[in-house]
Amino acid sequence: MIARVRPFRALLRASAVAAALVSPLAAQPIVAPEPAPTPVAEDGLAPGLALRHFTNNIQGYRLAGEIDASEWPIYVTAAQAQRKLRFQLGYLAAVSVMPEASTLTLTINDALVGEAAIRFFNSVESVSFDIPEGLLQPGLNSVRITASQRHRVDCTLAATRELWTQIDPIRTGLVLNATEASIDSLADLGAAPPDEQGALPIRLVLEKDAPSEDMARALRLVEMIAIEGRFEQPVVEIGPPASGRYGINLVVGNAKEVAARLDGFAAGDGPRAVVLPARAGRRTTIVVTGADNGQIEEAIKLIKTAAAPVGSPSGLRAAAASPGLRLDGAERVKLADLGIASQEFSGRLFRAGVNIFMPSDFYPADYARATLRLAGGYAAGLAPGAQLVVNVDGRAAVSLLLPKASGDVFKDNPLPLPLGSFKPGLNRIEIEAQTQTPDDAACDPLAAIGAPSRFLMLGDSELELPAMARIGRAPDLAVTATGGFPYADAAVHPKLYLPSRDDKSIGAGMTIAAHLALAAGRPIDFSFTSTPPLKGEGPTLAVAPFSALKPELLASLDIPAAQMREAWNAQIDRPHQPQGSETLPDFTRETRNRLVLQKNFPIACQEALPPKRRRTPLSWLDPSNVDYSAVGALTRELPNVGAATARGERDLFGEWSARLHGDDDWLRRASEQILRSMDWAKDKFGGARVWASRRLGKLAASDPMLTEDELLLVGQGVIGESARDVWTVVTAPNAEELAENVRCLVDPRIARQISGRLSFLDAGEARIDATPAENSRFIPTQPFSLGNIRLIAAGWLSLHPPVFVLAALTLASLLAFATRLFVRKVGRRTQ
Amino acid sequence: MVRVSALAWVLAGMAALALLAQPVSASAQLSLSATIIFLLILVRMFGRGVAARDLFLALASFVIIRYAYWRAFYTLPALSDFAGFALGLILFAAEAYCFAILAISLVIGVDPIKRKTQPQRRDDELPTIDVFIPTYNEDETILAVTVAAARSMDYPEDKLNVWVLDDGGTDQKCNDKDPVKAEAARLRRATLQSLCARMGALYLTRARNEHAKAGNLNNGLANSKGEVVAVFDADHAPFRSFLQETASYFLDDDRLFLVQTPHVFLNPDPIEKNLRTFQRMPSENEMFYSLTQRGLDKWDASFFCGSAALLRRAALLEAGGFSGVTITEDCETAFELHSRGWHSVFVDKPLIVGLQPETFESFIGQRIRWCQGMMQIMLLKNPLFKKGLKPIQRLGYLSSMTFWLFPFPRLVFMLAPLSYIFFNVKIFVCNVDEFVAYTLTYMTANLMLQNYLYGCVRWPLISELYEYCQGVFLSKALVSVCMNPRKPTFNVTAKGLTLDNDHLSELSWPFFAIFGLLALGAAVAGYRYFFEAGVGDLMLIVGIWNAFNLVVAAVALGAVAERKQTDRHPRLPIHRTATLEALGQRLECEVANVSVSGCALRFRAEVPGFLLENDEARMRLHVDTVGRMAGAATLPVKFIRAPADGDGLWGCVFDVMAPQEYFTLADLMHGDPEALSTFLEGRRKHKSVLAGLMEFARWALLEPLRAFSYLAPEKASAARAERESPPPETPIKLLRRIAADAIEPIVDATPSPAWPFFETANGAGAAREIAAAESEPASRTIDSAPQDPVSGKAVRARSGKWSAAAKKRSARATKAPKRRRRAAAKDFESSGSPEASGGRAARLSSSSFNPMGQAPDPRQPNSSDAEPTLARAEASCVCMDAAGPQSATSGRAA
Repeated sequence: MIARVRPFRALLRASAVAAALVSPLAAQPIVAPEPAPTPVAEDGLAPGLALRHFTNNIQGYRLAGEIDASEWPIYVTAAQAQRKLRFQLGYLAAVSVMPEASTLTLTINDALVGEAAIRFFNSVESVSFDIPEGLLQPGLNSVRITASQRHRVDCTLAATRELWTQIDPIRTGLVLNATEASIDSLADLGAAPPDEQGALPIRLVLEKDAPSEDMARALRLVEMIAIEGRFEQPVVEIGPPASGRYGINLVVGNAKEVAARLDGFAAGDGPRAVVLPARAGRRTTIVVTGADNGQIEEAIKLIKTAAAPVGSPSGLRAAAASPGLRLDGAERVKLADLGIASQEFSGRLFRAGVNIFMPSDFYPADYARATLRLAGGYAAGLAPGAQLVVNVDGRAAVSLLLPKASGDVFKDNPLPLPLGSFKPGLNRIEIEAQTQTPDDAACDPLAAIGAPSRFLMLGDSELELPAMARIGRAPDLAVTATGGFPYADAAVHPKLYLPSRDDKSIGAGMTIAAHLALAAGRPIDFSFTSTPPLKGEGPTLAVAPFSALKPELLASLDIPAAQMREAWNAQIDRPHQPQGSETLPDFTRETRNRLVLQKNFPIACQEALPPKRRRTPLSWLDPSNVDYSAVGALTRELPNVGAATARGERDLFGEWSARLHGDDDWLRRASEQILRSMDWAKDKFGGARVWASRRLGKLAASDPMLTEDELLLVGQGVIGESARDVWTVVTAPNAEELAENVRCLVDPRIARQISGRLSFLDAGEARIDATPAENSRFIPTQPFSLGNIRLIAAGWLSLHPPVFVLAALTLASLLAFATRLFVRKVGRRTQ
Repeated sequence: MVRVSALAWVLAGMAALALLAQPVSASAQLSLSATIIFLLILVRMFGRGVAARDLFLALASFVIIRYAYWRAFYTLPALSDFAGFALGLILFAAEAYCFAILAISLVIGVDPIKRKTQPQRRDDELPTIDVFIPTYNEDETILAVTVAAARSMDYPEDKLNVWVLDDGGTDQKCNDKDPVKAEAARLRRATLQSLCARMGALYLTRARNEHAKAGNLNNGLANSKGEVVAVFDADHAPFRSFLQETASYFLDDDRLFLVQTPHVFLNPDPIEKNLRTFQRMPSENEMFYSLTQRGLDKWDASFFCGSAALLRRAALLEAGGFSGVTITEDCETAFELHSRGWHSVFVDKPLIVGLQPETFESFIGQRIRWCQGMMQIMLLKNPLFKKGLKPIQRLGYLSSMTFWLFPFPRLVFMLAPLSYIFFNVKIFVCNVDEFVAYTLTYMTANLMLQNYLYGCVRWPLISELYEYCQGVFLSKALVSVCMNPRKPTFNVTAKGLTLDNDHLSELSWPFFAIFGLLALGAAVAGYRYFFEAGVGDLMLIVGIWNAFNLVVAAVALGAVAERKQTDRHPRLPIHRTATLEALGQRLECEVANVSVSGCALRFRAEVPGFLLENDEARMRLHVDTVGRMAGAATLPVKFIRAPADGDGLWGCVFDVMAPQEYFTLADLMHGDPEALSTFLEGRRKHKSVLAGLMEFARWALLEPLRAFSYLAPEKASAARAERESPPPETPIKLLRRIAADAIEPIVDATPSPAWPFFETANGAGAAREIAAAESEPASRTIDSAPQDPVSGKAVRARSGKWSAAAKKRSARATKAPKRRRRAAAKDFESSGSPEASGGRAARLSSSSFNPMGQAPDPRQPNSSDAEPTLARAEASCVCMDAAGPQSATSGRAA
């Protein structure tokens, strides 16, 4: 044991060094922590207590930068609300965070519950807060965790990006009495316990070789449970009733069969939908039953118990804004309703973000602008270059200088955000104010304590969305993944094609289908089939191991089957034995969890990898693997270390140049201006050049290169003439890989990356490689309206400028000709 | 068929609008506009014919429509930024005005009519014509040339009557409270009566100066009977072919009320003069006549411009004569007649030649009148609500009137950038991408469009310059006319002012102020761009805009820095042969140019020495005439300049001329319209955008230096001292003549053999005085009514009131010639009133005449009298009239 611990300690030290690398000036010696002397439960609780974890959501668990906040709606039963509860918060912070000036704040229903200094950067630590009585209300409540962090030694803007605090989902949640952690009523479905990572495992108990109709019925039930309970990551497995504290078992069938499958469940009369509380050896179990199929159908309707969600006003608001407020265009919302509270800020880089959920048939292009109407202000004495940047999904959409030396306040400062920078589904709009002052150059980090405010953000700020073009596209996986399109609004029952009837494949298929229903916000009534649907039978979702799919089918969908076969050759038909976390030794698990936290990594994806492909913890010690990115911004365009270095060099040059020539050197500004215009021209006309050369065949759109690490494919194609015959295929080398990778895929942080025609999941990197869809077909989703047609046309023309130009030239010629004809017929004529 | 093509056009237009109203991305827009600009260049280079023209217009208008659409819906500041919103709205309104004017002008000018020369008609078919020459205070020399030219027009003699309608000699004027003015008026009446009698014209005056020019013309209408009325301003002399080209239109269309021809000027306007562009650049009004009026002609909407036009009496009578509600009676008259269903025709041939104001001051005064008059029509008789007009005619009149609102947008464009530079108010919301994709390409396409359409008559940016120069003053006039549409009165433009010195116009200070403000703006913009963080690209864009304005303002400084003008009478280049007779010898020569006071000769053979040796040599020029009225066809001439710079041109002045000799002069000047056409064509070379911009940039660099050099104290005082000589008022001049000659009072309607102007009853004194008076540099106060080319406002008549500014100047001028004036006044006292009996009877001076028979021997005054010649020679040093531009200085030195 000792022998095995030593290398691990070395490894820990290495990781601390790695962390120190991030902050090159970190002065404190880093001491590896001693292993805890007494074994405690993983969630850090005494026996008899249990945590209600957060449900996983798009924001993940990272609080980055000088100020950041994350909000969860959390469902509390009436019984739980009456008790005096505690909230436990487990976190790990970056080494750069200065404890003296950094705090974590817990707010529940907009009331401050507690504040704690951020002290722990070398191990996960838990703090717990007593929740005042009466604060939690039955139903939905808002829990907000805010981190305010300052750098230990560095006052630059760039350094603020090294600051992060990671909430450890395993150790975070409402502390409940273990006996009350479960639910016993369908009305409390929202309080069903998700697992430590925020997913909701649903163990579906089916009879062997259940008919397709039964499976379809069960899937509908799963979808309803996920939607009603607001679980963003349901994961369906097929099997006997499972044990454990988290997740639910779902049993559906006629009374006799159910009673046979479930110990102690008494068969009864009439349609019934009941919850059996968890007990030793069995999770919370939901049973939906009736004497016959008709009664079962009626019983299913009982799942929906309340017409409208209940809870505190803040909780309801948080629920509506989670994962993102659904917007339809031509409307205005206050940022306060999206979870941004009015606040003052005394640091250098203010950041606040909101999530909005655009309709799946939103057609993104620059035919209009959303407007962020900012209310707030800034203090006098900011340094030149202070500015406000609004990012949409990690890309700067607009910036606003904060130029007045005397400061300014504004109530309605309109910032245009091109619609082209949004996409269907979830979008994160991040407001970033760079409020450096000349004093920052001298850098007295301790001055950060009690520093005066520099920036004011008001919740009265508004987001105004213009009318949007609404049209479905196929193939376009983003539209499918974010809105369930075209399955959710198909005229006929969409098909779930499961050629391979093993439990893993069925579970994966149901997980994906449930995810689509969640994205659509309503249940989708799939019918199951194990034979390929024919043309004209409507949209089809196919989930199967690679070998179960016919090559002709894949070919007709333009999916590179040959390439996949080559890349996956080793895995096809040779399933690995997935190693659950249970099988790992404690220290390995702990280390891994720590690294997962540092990297802000969805753990389900780590488990999806075959052991030999799995990243060793050591490989994560590379500082480039530490993720500094902001909450929810899981795009590859975010600063990786390489880019940061390049930028650092340029900044160094700029600093030196400024020091030597003075900041006001007009020659330098002039030359910068010229360089900038050249960049601009390259940027504007480069696109046209690429387009032209592609048309000329020099740059053929290349087929995607599948790597060996990419073990899941999501592909979409349209078969035949009818654009309604959309096929979406989800496949992996074998059933086991399929199930594991689908668990990773449906993590909200991953699922939002699905896009294009083909998406390959690299679970090891928690990343999706997408092949863009060209020549997507349009599928109408809205009743005909001229306004919508116009916007769609504008969007399409914006994306195809050459067509726009040609159309305009044609019409100009036509007009010139018609004018000549007309003019010759009227008025006097030259003889 | 018309319906089908109209439908096709509407459909094509709607499809185009539907596409152009697509809110596409800035990069798609950039692709479109860059492609279009590229195509515009191709069409411009290789396209020929109407199809290419239509394609060019369609393409360019696409860029403009895209910009207008974007500008209207995406660039206005938020209401919450009230200052920005309000100012932004003003700027947008200014731009919207430009879009509207451009759109209207494209519709109106879609297919400018070209007319063929009319076939010859039989004499007995032709209508009888009364030529009206309304006058108020014009110099009789000029009037004499105009009368001679009018009489010389090729037309059956029995069908042509020429009327001088004198408003300077009305009963009202003759009985003025001021005895000096009254005397002058009486003398003028007598003088003109005699002149008319001798030249075979009819003199007509009236009791009171009511309704200004319109009233005067109506008086003529009441006293004449011809089927058609021709109107020529006193300084608008017609070419011989005028009636041949125009009269026959009345035979072809019974409902035709107007045949209008362009106004062409012999002299530069002050801006052309000060920038020295007259010889190279088309005049400002050419765009109006050669494009706008021709465009209107297609739609039967060309209108009366006050002169150089024929009108049908029946039509005028139906409408109650010439309309006199507004101060632009010409346009108003056409407007009324169009609304009654009468038709008009425009003949785009230079058939008259006239004068325009020389000084910036009088130029502005003239424009204020046009501008206020057109506004009056719009306010008092809005074309939108006028019954009887066709829609396209409404549009035409509306565009001619709304054109005059240009001062507001022009000033807005000039000053708008300052709001951001000085006060940080953002009035135009856009980013750099959009600025390039929309604004920059719009400006480029617009410039190309203007150049394509108007390039041969309007150099790039000249419109902006004229608009700015006028806008500074017209904006005030516009406000006043809008406050009180009935207030403006007919102010006469001072013309014929000679400028002896380089000096700054009295009206120049606002231009210096604005130039200073813009220069300060440029400095602040530059400073803020380089030294102030956070202004960035926006300041760069605004700074460039401001710099452009600064360039216009700089050139405007040159436009108001008046150059001295050495030719009092502008010359017309001609190619005519003649024979010079001197001391019994005859020399063949060619007349290279001619003005009312002199000409330049080029000899075929060596010039004999004796011509040069004998300064006193009296010579006669035998002109090879082309018309029927030239009479003896000789002119008395005298050399004043030898050839310089190898041009081979001998400068001559005309000696004192007899009335009949004016027919010869008219034949020389106005006998051959081709001379003028050639001159005009010579200027109408297409100026490319690039060349135009280069020229403009050169002016922007040099002209402010010149303007500032005029500011220098010594120069200014010198200028002031020299400006002492200008105009004694016309009456004074006449009084001096009266005093000197002590002539007897003129008898009613009977040409007297002792007529002081032409005869030498009292000897040399009279002639000397005449010469002295004529040489008086600023003695001419002629007002012509040229047309504004850009917009198409009407021509107005002149009548003879000094503008306020001119009065001021003349008051100052009185200081210097005090001595002379005192002497004149003494003479006057002793001579008594020459025209005590100038009563009603004098108004209609000659009801019957026999031009050839009654004319005195033209040679008599010159051949017999050496004295006046001396006096004349002395005077001609000031106003010599020789060949090229350089001749002025050399002649002066001589």
